[in-house]
Formats: sequence, structure tokens, C-alpha cells
Amino acid sequence: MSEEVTAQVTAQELFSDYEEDESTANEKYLDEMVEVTGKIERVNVEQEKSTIQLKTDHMMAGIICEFEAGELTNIPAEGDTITVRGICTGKLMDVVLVRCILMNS
Amino acid sequence: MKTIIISGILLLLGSITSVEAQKYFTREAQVSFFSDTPMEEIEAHNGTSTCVVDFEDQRMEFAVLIKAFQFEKALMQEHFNENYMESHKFPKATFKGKIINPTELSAKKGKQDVEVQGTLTIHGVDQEVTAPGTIEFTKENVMVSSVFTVAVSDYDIDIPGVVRDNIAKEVEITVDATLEPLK
Repeated sequence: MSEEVTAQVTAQELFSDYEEDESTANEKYLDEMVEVTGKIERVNVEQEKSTIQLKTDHMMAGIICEFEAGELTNIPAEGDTITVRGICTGKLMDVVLVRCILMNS
Repeated sequence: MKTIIISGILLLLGSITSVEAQKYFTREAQVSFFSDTPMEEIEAHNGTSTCVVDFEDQRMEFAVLIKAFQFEKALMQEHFNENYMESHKFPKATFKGKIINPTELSAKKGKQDVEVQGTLTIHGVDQEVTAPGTIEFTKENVMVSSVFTVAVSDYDIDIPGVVRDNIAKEVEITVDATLEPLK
């Protein structure tokens, strides 16, 4: 698992890459630390893990960024544009990033 | 005239007893597993599972990315992905099933015990499973939870001899999800 950022993309670019060809996208992003910039669709703060969903042009799906407990101290607002670093674990409906760190807000 | 009144009453009854929104959804369902042996306790958590429940036909689906399970020890997570689950080959685990008991859920408030039956697919292997759980309708959401066990050997997961005493033969799975109405 890489701790160096191997790709810097927008939420839309990451999602489109997965929509176009999942296996090629996996070769590029899977298990890699990816830096993603996008607009916040939704924030879900939980006691344990919190998640931020980034917007794409897809009606239902986007990028899900999961933060470990205690990681998200400054909670950004819906509509903000943020940059997040996290490990890409592939795509279900959304592309999932885990162990995220918020770079700015 | 009589039929109009009767069908009107039936319609009214129908709208009272049926669940207001039919489909509920989340992409933040929590799925954890726990393996307990005298040698070692291992647990992993995944907070990015998707879950859809359609109350019209009582169907229920879950999906998780294997690589999104987080362990306390990075090395354990690596072994889990590379050696046991082969997540590069089988990136997802899914459950597709139905609430079989009760056969008709009511949208009344409070926790209800349910039984769910369906196909659990892990490591590329399909198994028919039945699991107990609860469903609770709150004002806006639906909470779903379940605890059940799976036998590692049912899913062709090969645990090498050196760590066989460290990994339980039956692993406990906990599911907790808060679903929102799908508009």
C-alpha cells in the first residue's frame, strides 16, 4: 500500500475513469494514495467513522471518502470544494477512498 | 356506488398500512467482522457498504468492497486481502435476499425482529444463508441491523497451517445501517 500520492485528479476524472473501464482504472488507482478535489455533495458525521461524498455528473453516484474516527476535526460544509487524500479501494456504486485526510477546505 | 365506497376504504387502509416510501438506501452501512480464538482476536470494519431495501417486495441487497475493510494491524489487512480473500480477484462481497419473516412488514415505529434469507457471495463463492436481524422505522429513516456467523471453509478460503489457530473457523459478522428513502 502506497503512502505517496500517485495521482492527483478531480472527483469527476476519477469517477469517469472507473465508468469507462473499471479494470484499467483499478490498475491505475487501486491500493494507491489518490488526491481528489471535488465539491461536497453530502457529509455524514458519525461517532466512529465519518464520510464525505464528492459530486460527479452522475445523478446517484460519486466518490465516497471515509475518515477514521477522530480524523475529521474541522467538518466542511456541503457545497464546499475540498481536496482529500485517501487509499482507493475500488468502485461499488461510488468510487471508495479510505483512511482519508482532508488537505484543505 | 357501493363498490366505489369499498374500494375507497380499501385504498385508505392500504395507504395506512403500507410503508410510505418503498425503497430505502445507504452507501454508509457499517459491516464488521470479528474472529475470536484463544490465540488472537481479530476485527475489521467497513463503513462504506451499500444497502438497498425495497419494502414493496421485501428484497434486500448489500455490497462491500473487500479492500475497504480496515484492520488495526496493516500486516493483517495485507494478509487478509492478498492471501485469504484474494481481493484483486474477488473485489466485492454481496448479499442478495429477502425478508422472509414476517412476510409483510408494517411501518409501525419501534424495533421489529426479522429473518432474512438469500445468497451471500464471498471470495467468489455463493452460499444460501438465513440470518436474524432487526428493522426499525424512525420518522424518516430505516435502521437495519444483524449479527450472524459464517464458516470460513464454506467460502473456499484457505487458511495456512501456521496461522490456523489464530483465525476462527466461524467469523461473526455485524451489520448496522441507517437507510434513507430513495426518491
